[in-house]
Amino acid sequence: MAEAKIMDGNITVPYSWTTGPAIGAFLTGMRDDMKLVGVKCSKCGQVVCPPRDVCPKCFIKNDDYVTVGPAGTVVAFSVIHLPNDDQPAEPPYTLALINLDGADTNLVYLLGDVDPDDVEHGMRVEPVWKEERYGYLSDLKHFKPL
Amino acid sequence: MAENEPVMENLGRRLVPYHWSYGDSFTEFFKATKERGAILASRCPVCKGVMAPAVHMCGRCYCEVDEFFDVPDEGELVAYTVVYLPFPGQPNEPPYCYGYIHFDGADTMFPHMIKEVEFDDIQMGMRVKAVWEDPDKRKGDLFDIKHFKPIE
Repeated sequence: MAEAKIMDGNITVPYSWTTGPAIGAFLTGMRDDMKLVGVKCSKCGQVVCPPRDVCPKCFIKNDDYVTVGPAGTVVAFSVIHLPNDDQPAEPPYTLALINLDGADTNLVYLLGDVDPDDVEHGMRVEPVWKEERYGYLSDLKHFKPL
Repeated sequence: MAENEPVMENLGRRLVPYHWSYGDSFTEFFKATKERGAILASRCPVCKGVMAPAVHMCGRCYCEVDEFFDVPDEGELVAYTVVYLPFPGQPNEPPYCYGYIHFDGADTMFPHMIKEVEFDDIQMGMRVKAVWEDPDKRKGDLFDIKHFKPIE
C-alpha cells in the first residue's frame, strides 16, 4: 500500500465578538483615554479589573465603573519558552499577574522592555499604550517597569 | 481612532491550520486523479456494490474490498444546489452550483461543482462529464477535476 498522503490546509474563521457592557467600558477607556477601567461593587466595595457585569462575591449587578492604576505591582509571573501559534511575543517572554493600584483582583498581561531574568515579585509596572488604538485589548502593548 | 461610540464588538480572524491524513482509500483515489486523470472505483465481494471513490472496506458489509478498476468520468446528475449565500470557506464566490454525480457503473454519488451551464438549465438526471485540470497542475485533491459540465 502506498504511504498515506497528508493534506496541509488552512481554514480562516472570521468572527465578531460582542463585548457586553463591562468589557465594552474597559475597552472604551483604553481606546479613548488610555485608562484602565474597573468596577466597584456597591455592596461589598470590591473593585474588579477587568470589570464584570455582576460582582463575583455578591452576585449583584455592578455598573459603578472606576479608574484603576495606571501603575500596578507584579504579584506573580511566568517566563514562557515554549513557542505556540497564539503567542503574544517571541519566546522567551514574561506573562505577569499584575495587581493594579486600587483594584482587588489581578490582571494577566505581557511584560515588555524588561529582560525576563530581571523580573521580580513586587516589581512596580505601568502600561505602555499603542499610538493608534481601536478598542481592542492589543491597544495595550505591555506593562513595563516604572 | 477616537470615535464617540462606545466599544461594543471586536472583529477577528482565526487561522486554523490543519493536517488531514487521507488514509489508504483516498490516497489511491487521488493518486489516480493526479497521475492518470481517472476515477478509481471498487467492488465489494459480498454485496457487489461499486463505490466511487474506491474504498478498502465496504461500509455496508464491513468486509475487505480488493477489486479496483476505473469508471468513466461521466454520469448522471442526481442532486444539485445553487448557492447564493456567501460564507467563509466556500470554493467559489456565489452564486455557484454544486451537485452529486452518479458515475456510469457506480452505486455511490460524487460531489463536485457544476459549471458551463445556466442555473435555470440544470436538470435532475442530466448527463455531466468531468473537466480535468492540466496534468501538470494537479495536486492530488478534489480539484484535480475543475468541475463537471453537461454533455449530450
